[in-house]
Amino acid sequence: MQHADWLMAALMFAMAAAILGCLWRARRGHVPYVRRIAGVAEIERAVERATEMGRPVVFAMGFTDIQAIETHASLLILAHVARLAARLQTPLIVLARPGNVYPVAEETVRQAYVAEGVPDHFDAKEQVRFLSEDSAVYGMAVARLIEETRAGCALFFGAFEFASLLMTEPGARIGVLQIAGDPSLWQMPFFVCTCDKTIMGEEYYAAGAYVSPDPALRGVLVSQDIIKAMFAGLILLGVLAALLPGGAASWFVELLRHYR
Amino acid sequence: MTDPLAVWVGAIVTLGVFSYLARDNPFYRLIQQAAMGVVVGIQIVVTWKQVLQPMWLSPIQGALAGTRDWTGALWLLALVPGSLWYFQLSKKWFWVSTLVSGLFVGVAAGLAFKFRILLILPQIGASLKPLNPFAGPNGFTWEGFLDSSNNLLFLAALLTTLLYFFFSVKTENRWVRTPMRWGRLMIMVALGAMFGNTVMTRMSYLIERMQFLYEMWLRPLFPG
Repeated sequence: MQHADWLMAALMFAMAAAILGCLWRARRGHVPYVRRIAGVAEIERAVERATEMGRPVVFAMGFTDIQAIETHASLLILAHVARLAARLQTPLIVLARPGNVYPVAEETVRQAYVAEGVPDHFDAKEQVRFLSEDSAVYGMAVARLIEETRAGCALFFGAFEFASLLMTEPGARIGVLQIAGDPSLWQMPFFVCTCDKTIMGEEYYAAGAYVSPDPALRGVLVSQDIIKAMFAGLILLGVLAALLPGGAASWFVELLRHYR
Repeated sequence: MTDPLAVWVGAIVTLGVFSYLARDNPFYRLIQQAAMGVVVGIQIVVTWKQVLQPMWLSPIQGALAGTRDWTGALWLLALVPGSLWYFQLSKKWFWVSTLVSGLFVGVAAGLAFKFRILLILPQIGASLKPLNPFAGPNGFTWEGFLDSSNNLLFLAALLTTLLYFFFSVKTENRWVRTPMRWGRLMIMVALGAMFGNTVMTRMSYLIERMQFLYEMWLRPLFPG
């Protein structure tokens, strides 16, 4: 078994310390500033637009299982969308792919309707649907459902695979307002082409924390910024060390380069 | 020799899928739904034949029959956490499923922590590109200057893209906003390149389908 060397161990310790420190501060009431993300504001507008049109909001979840962090971020956004839909009395259809995400998604939507004081408006059978475990089948079924229901808006949040274009192209063709969020950049070009707004890369996790009422999540977001700053600092230090005359800090450069 | 029936089915399905380019139609819908059914059927068979039977049932059967190592019977224990997932279907006992899903989330988070370091450290090492055009073995050269400029552009793109993903920084400041915009521009350039690359891949799929239609289906029909 390969063990961490001292630099790896130090970085892991610093990452853990940043996360725990920010969580501790947030729990003590220091709610940190998080900048506004354009796509998040657009989600609210999209749901309002669907309400005005009298058409349903379709929310398609990503392909990852319940243990994946991506799934939990998409559940936070789903809770936000469900609260909006319940408040505005807009029909909401949630599509879940992995079997173990389906009941959690159902419970998330149910709690949102309870929180908005309209539990009777929640119809589990109609509103939360399991389509398939297979990416292609799921993609085709999502596309068909968007077309057949003439959705007011379609929201795609999660980590998607090659089916992203399959899912979003029909909606783009018939003029459905579509917003997609995916932490991976591989499917993002297709979402950029077919959706009105996109939430990409780390914005996806930030969006989950931004819409969640839990201040601890904002704390975690700040800790991620600290970790990114740490890595950016390492890069800058490495570059500066490489520029020093006579190879005065070449040991540091070699230390970082040997991980390549 | 390819079965003519398979060629005809392939050709009809291909044309049915292409018919969507004109407009949505019942023929396309029929093929779409048939594809869904076929994939679900295949998935059930694959799950049983390639996962459950060889990896779970056979070791248990072998251990119980005495033809394989007794440790195969330990796979019976997998039924305990596995069956806990099914409590998700009960509203009253839903909490039982959270025991196993919590365990999975914990394991996934721990592994993600480790993999993040293993992913990022090599990238940091690879980011340390030479920036000094005078540091080459032959001193200053035009090629060395171009390489250094390229590396400088890479470093600027890397750092500004990183800055774009800082969420706790106020963007009113011009010294933050301008590099963030530059970072966003760099991301768009990268996405454009990725999109172009994938379009090329999809075009190769299209060419393969066209070749199939022409060589396997049409040419045998009209041999002259």
